[in-house]
Amino acid sequence: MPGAPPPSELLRALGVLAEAPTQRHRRLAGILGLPEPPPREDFTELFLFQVYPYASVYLGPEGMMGGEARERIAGFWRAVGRTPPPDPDHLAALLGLLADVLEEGSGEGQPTGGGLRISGSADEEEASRLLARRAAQVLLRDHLVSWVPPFLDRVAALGGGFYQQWACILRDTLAALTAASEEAREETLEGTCAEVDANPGNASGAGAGHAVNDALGDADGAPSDVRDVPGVPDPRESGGMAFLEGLFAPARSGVIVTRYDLVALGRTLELGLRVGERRFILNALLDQEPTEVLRALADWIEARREEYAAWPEPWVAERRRWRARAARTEALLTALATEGETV
Amino acid sequence: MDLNELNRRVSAAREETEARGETFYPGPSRIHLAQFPPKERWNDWVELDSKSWPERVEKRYTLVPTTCFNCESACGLLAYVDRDTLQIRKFEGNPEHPGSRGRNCAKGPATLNQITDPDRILYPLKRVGVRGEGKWERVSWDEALDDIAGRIRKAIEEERHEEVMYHVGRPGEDGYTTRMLAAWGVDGHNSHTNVCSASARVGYNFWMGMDRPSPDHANAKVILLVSSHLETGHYFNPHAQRIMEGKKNGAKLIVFDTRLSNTSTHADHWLATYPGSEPAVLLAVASWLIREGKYNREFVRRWWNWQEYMEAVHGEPEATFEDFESTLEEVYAEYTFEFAEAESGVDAATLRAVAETVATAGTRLATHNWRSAGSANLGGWQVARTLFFLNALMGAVAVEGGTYPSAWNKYVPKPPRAPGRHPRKWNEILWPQEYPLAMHELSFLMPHLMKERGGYVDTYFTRVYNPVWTNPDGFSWIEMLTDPEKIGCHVAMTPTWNETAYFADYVLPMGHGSERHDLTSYEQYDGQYIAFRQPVLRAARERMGEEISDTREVNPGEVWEENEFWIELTWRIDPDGSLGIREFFESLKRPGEKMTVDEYYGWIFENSVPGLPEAAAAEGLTALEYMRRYGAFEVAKKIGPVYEQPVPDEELEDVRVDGMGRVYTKAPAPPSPRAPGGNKFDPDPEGRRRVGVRVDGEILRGWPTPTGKLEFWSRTMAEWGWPELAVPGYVKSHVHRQNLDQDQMVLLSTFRVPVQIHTRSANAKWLDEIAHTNPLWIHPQDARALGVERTGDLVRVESEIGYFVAKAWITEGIRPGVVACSHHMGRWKLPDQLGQRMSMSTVGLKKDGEAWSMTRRKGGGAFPSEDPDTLRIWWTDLGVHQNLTHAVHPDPVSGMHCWHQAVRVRRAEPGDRYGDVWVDTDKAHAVYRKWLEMTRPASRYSPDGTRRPYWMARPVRPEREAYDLPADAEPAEV
Repeated sequence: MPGAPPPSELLRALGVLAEAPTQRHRRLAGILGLPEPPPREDFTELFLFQVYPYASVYLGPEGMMGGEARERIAGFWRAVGRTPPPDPDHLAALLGLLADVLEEGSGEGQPTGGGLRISGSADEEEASRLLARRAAQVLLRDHLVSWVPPFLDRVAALGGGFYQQWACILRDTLAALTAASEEAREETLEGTCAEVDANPGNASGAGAGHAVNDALGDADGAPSDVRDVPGVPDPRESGGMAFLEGLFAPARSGVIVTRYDLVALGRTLELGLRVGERRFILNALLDQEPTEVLRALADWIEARREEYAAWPEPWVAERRRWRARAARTEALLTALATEGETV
Repeated sequence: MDLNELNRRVSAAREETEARGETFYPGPSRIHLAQFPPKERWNDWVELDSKSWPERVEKRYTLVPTTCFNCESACGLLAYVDRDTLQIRKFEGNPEHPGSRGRNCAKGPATLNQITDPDRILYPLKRVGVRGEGKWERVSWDEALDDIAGRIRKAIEEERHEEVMYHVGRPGEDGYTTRMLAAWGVDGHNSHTNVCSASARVGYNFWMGMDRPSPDHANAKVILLVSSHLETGHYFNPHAQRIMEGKKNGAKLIVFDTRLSNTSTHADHWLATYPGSEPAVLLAVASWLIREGKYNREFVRRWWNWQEYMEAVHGEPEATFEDFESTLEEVYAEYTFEFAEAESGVDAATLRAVAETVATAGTRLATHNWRSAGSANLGGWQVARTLFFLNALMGAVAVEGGTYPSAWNKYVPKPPRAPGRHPRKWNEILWPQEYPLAMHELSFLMPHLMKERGGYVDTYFTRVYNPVWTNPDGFSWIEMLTDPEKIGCHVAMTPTWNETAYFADYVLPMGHGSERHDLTSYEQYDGQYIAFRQPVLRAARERMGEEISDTREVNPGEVWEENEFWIELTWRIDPDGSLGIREFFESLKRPGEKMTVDEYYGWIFENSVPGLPEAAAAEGLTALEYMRRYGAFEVAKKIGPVYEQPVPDEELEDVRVDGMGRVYTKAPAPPSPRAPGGNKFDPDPEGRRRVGVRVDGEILRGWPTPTGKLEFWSRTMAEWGWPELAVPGYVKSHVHRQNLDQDQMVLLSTFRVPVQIHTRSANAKWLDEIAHTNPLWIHPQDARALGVERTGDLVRVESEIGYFVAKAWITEGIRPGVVACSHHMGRWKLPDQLGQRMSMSTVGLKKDGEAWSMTRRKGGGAFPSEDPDTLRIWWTDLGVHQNLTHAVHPDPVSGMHCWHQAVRVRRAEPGDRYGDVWVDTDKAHAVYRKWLEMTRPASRYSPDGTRRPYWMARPVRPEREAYDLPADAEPAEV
C-alpha cells in the first residue's frame, strides 16, 4: 500500500469481524464484499472451540490463554500509553490498537486513551509520530505476525466461506503492512530515539526515547515471545503429559492442533473417539493405536509445513521459524513411531 | 483485491454512520470466552464432573439464568441443571447480566446451599398452641389460602383496609407487590427501609427528587465513599468491580470509615472519622472548594435553586449569582479544616489533601453513601446531603464519571392492567404525623406506636423480613407479636426459619432465588437494564418439552413462589369479582380465568421494554423466551444528563412559565412504557402539567423537585418545620462526644462481613463456615484501660436499655474510643423449635415483669442430616444478638433508626456467660418517648393542613383526600 493512508479502518473492521456476529457485522461484511456472516453458532464453534483468537495461546509456552505472553502484550499497551483492555491479546483488540498507532504515526489520528505524546511543539509532534511508527512496527511483527499466519491457515481450513475470505483479506493486509514496514527500516531505532531525546517533552526528560523504545521491544531479531520457547519434550524423558502439553502449545510444536483435527485423524484411522479436551482425545487415540496415530500426526504436521511454505513473501522470517519448529516436532513423532514399530 | 479501496469504503461508511450520530462499530463481545460457557451452548453444555476426579466423568447440563436473591444487588446467576437428574449442581455468574457482568460474590454460588439446606421449610405450617410455643401442624395450601383470604375479604368489606399489612424486608422485585396492594386498595405496604437506607435517601431526595445515587465509578477520577459496605454489602459486587476498574484507570479512592474495612484497605485516603462527624468533614471540603473558587460555577448557576434561596432566606429576589456566591462563602466559612479536625479527629492537613484530591476530579467525581454513617446518627441524612453537595459543586452530576440519580439508571416497566387506584385511608401506624418528611414507613416503631396509641392489624404478612432479630428492641416486637389484641393473624412468608416466624400463625414456604419469578432493575452504572428471576427447574423442564403450570410442581416439597401465591390469594379474596379486585389478576387472553405468571411477564416484555421484542425476534424468540434464555436485557446505556435534555416541541402546547422558571404545558404526557409512580407535582391553576424548567432561555427537562432544579435550599424542609436544616449542614450526632458520659463509648453496629446477608444466608453452609461469629472490635488502648487482656475475653456491653455479653477482639483496625460489632450474627432458636441448626444457637428466654433475659443453652455443632457436610460442622460460636439491646432512635426528620449506640464496656462479671442478653422494655419505651419529643409533627407544622408533602413519592400512594390531617389535629405552628 505504498503512498496510501494507513489501512486503519480496514484493520478495525477485520478485527470487529473476529467478534461474535451481530446485525452490524452483516453491514460490515457487505462493505468488505464478504458473504453474510454465519450464524453465531458457527462463530462459537470456530473461535471458541477450535482456534482461539488470542495471541497468548500461540506465543506462550503453555499454549493457553493468559500467562506471561498476555502480560507481555499488556505491557506493550502500557508502553504506548494505553490502559490494557480486559483481553489485551485478542485479535480484535490488537488490530484496533495497530490501527490507532498507525494513525498516530501518520499524523492522522488523535491518540486514543493516552497515546505516545511527547509534547506539543511541531518538532515534538514529529517525534511522537516517529515513535508511533516505531511502535506500529513492533506491534505488527512481535504481537501479530508472530502468530497470525498459522492461525489464519487453520481458520481458512476449518471456517466456512465467510471466514475463509475474511482470513484472506486479513492475511493480505498484514502482509502488505509487513512489506511496507520492511521498506521503512531506514527509519532506524537510533534515529527515532535521537529525535525523541532531543525533544524530551514535559515529563519524560532526556533519554525518554530510549526508555520508550526499551519498553516497546527490540526492532531487530526474533520476537522475544518465541525466541526462547523450548520445543516439544520427548515423552521418553519427560513423560506423556509433558509431551501432550508441548504438542498442543503452538509456540513449542510449530503447529495448531484443533479438536477437529484430532477427530478427523481418529476417523481416518477408524479409531474410537472420546469427547473431551484435546489431551484427553489424543490420549484416547494413542491408547488404541499409538504407532499409527503418531505416524499420522507426523504426516499431518508435514502437510502444515507445506502450507507454511505458501505464506506471503514478507513473512519469510516467520515461515522459517514456524517451519523449523514443526519439522522438529515431526521428527520427534516419527522417531517415536519408528521406535514403536521396532518394539 | 484492492486493500486501499476496501479501507476507503469502510472509512466512508463509518463517516456516514457517525454523521448521523450513530455508533459504527459494535462493542467487543468477547468477555464470555475466557470464563463462561458460550450462550449458544447453554442448552446442552458438557463439563467434567469435579467430584469424580481423577476419573473423567462427563456431565451434561442445561444452563438456566436467574437472579440472586441474597442482597439487593440482584446479580445474575447461571444455574447448571443436570440433564439426567434435573437437579441444580451449581450456580455461577451470568455473563449476560449488565450489572454483575458474570461476576458474583460468595453469596451467589451459595444459593446452592440454600436450596439444599436440610433445615429449610418445605410445607405450609399452622400454629397449634399459643404463639411462640413452637408447635406446628402441616396444612394444605388450600386451607391456608382460604383462611387468610377470608380474613382479608372481611376486612375490606368492613372498610378496615388499614388492618391488612405487608411488611417486607428485601423486596427483590419491582412493582409486582405494590400493584397488588393498589388493587386491594390497602395502604398496608410496610418496608424495612427505616432500619436500612432511608436516611441517605432523604439526603439525596431533598437535593434531586430522587432518592438513591448511582455513581459511575468505572469512569471516575476520584471516588469518595462514605459507605464501609460498598465492598462488603449493598450493591457490593456490581459496584466493587467498577471501583476496581476505576482504580485501574488511575482513579483516587477516598474512604470514610471508622473501621479498617475491606473498602478502607483499598483507599488512597482512609479517613477513620469519629462516628457522626462525616458531614463536618464533607462541609470543610465544600467550604474549601467554595473559598478557593474550585467549583463548577456554570453548573451551579444553571442548576441550583439559588434564586429561590436568595429570595426566601435573604429577602433578595434580585440577587445576582455573584451575590449568591458571596453568601455561599459566608454560610460555609465556619467549616474550616480545623473545625473538621476537632469534630472528626482527622488532622487538618490530611483533610486539606483530601479536598485537593476532590478538586482534581472535575466532573468525574463518583460519590456514594448508603447505610453506614447515614444510617447511624441523629441527622445522618445530612451525610448524603453534604456528600452530594460536593457533586453539585463540581457539576459531577449525571455525567461520565460522576454520580447519577437512581431513576435515570433504573428501568421499571409498566405492568399489564395497572390498577391506577389509590387507598382511601391513611395508615397512621406506618405514617404517623410526627414524621411528615420520612421517605418510608416508620416500620420499626410499630410495637411502640401500637402500645401507646392502640391499633390492630388483622392480617400481618412478614415477607423476607425478620424484625424480631433485625430491628432494634426485638423484645418489644415479641411483645407485640404475641398479643392477639394487636396482631390478628401473622403470616410469615419465608424460605427459612427465622426468629420472627416463631411468633407467626402461618409459616408459608417461599422459594429461594432459583425457585421464583421476579423482575428487577438496579442503578449500578450509567445504563438501564432489567433482570429476570425465574424458577430454574421449571425453565429447564420446559426446555425439555414439559408444560409446567404451577411452580410447586418443580420446587422441593410444597415450596411456592410469591407471584403465583398472590394471584391465587387475590382470587380467593374476591372470588366473584364483586370487590373489583379480581379483574387485575384475570387472564388477558381468557377473560374470567386467572392470569398466569407467563402472561404477566410476557406482556411486560412485549409491551413495556423498548428493544426487547426486536432483540428476541432477531433470534427467533418471543420476548419471554428471550428473557428465560438469557435472564437479562439492557434497555439503554450512557443515559447522560437527562436534566439538560430539551423538551421536544410536541410536548410544548399553550405553555406557561412561572416566576421560578417552571414550565407548564397543555400537551398531554406522551405514553410511556415505564411504570407510573415517583414524585407528583400539581398542575398550574389552568390544569397544565409541569414539563420542564427554563434555563438560559431554553426549556429543559430539569429535575423532579418542586423547583425543577437541584435544591440546595429545600422549601419543603423549611415549610414543614425545619428551616434551620434546609441547606446542607451539620447535625451533631446523638453519639457526639458532648452527648456521652466520660465512661461511654460508641458502639458501631452498621457493618457486616461480605459473605453474609441478614437472615437468609444463615442456612448456607459455605458462608457459615467462613463467617459465623461477631466479636467486639476494641482498640488495644481501650482494652488496656478496661482491663481486657486477651482477644476472646468476655466483655459486657451496656446500652441504655440493657446489656449483652460478647467476646473481645483486640485490634488496631478500629478507632480508639469506638467499639464495633457486626450485625449479622447471633441468630437463635428456642428449645425444641425447628430452625437453622448450623447457624442458630439454642437459647432460653425469660420475662420477669418488663425485663427480658436471654441465655445461650447450646451453640452450634455437627448434626446428622441428609447432607453429610452437617456432620463436619466444626464451629460452635455463633455470635451474640446485640440488636435486642438497642433502643429505637427514630431521627426526627428522616424517621430512620439511628443505629449507633452509646455504651459502657467492661469486663464481664462473674456469672456472665457468652451470649447473655438482658433488656428492660419499659426503659426501651422511655427512650422511644425521648426521641419522639424531638419531632415536629405535621399536626403542628404542616403548611397546608396535610400530613405530608404531596410531591414526595410513596410506594402505594393514597388518594389525595387521605393526605388531609384529621379535623382534630393540633393548630399549626406559626
